[in-house]
Amino acid sequence: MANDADEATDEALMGRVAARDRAAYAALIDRYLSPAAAFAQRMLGHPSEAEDVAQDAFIKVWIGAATWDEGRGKFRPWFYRLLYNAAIDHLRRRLPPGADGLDEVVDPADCPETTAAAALRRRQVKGALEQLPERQRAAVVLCYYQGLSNREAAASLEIGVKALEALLVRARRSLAETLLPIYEQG
Amino acid sequence: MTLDELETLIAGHGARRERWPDEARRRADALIAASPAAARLVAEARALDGLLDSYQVAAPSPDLRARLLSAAMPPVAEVMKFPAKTHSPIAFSSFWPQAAALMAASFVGLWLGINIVSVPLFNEQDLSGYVLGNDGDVIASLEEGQP
Repeated sequence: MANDADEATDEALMGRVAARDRAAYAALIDRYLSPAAAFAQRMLGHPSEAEDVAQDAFIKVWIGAATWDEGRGKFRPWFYRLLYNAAIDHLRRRLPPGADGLDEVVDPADCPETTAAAALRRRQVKGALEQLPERQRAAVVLCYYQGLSNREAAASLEIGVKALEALLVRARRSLAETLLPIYEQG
Repeated sequence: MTLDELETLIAGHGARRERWPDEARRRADALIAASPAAARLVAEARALDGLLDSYQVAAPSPDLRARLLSAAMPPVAEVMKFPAKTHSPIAFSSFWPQAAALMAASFVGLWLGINIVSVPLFNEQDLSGYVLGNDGDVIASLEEGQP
């Protein structure tokens, strides 16, 4: 029989987290830890920084649950807003390249790729994403990788849907300009 | 649907038709069938999606979940709440004498600490009339009648 926390909505779980229910908090962690770490990793480009950001956001969920107001919207865009803000804070505090060792190549064992060609392609896509302005990158990561609707992604970035669509169009044009010539080479 | 609208549709939903909203898909299909430029746009978008899909990321470390749960303690404000019924005269009457006693004990301790440390162990002036041994003991007096 499934645990009732497994079937509860995110918002219902938040209501229980507000009452300091650690089982509800654990259920939210189980739902969102992997997506949160993936979002942060694609925003920042480094797994350990991504874990710091995910941790920051979850701690804010625990602390902020007391003031959670279900009437102000859904949990998912709110949570991604926390993640986005934590990622941006992290980027602002970042040391110059090389000073913190974060520009080291990611250990291939951390990734599912097995071939050098796939690893190269991954680095090219990662590099192209990192070249995008932060909000364009966030828009692509939220909509394309995280699967948020345009409305949810716009709420996460605290902008209108039209503004989000404009960010997405510009981001995809830039990515296509950078990456498609590589794709056409084979 | 125009080319710009098709581009916005793809930007928001990706190049896979099955992800497009029904009404938008019908209009997009009509445009793609009639316009080589639209068909090219979709083909390029599919190629881009394929590249974006190649950027897979590492899973979070297994202990992160445990770290998050262990950090989920009640906020300090809840743990360190002031005596729960400070608005009650009874609580005031039991709290303030204890607080005053604690503060008084602290001041006494502080005063003793300062003064004990600053008091010299002996007054060198008082020993000026004596001969001291190597170990500092008085072994003779320079004044008559003294040992």
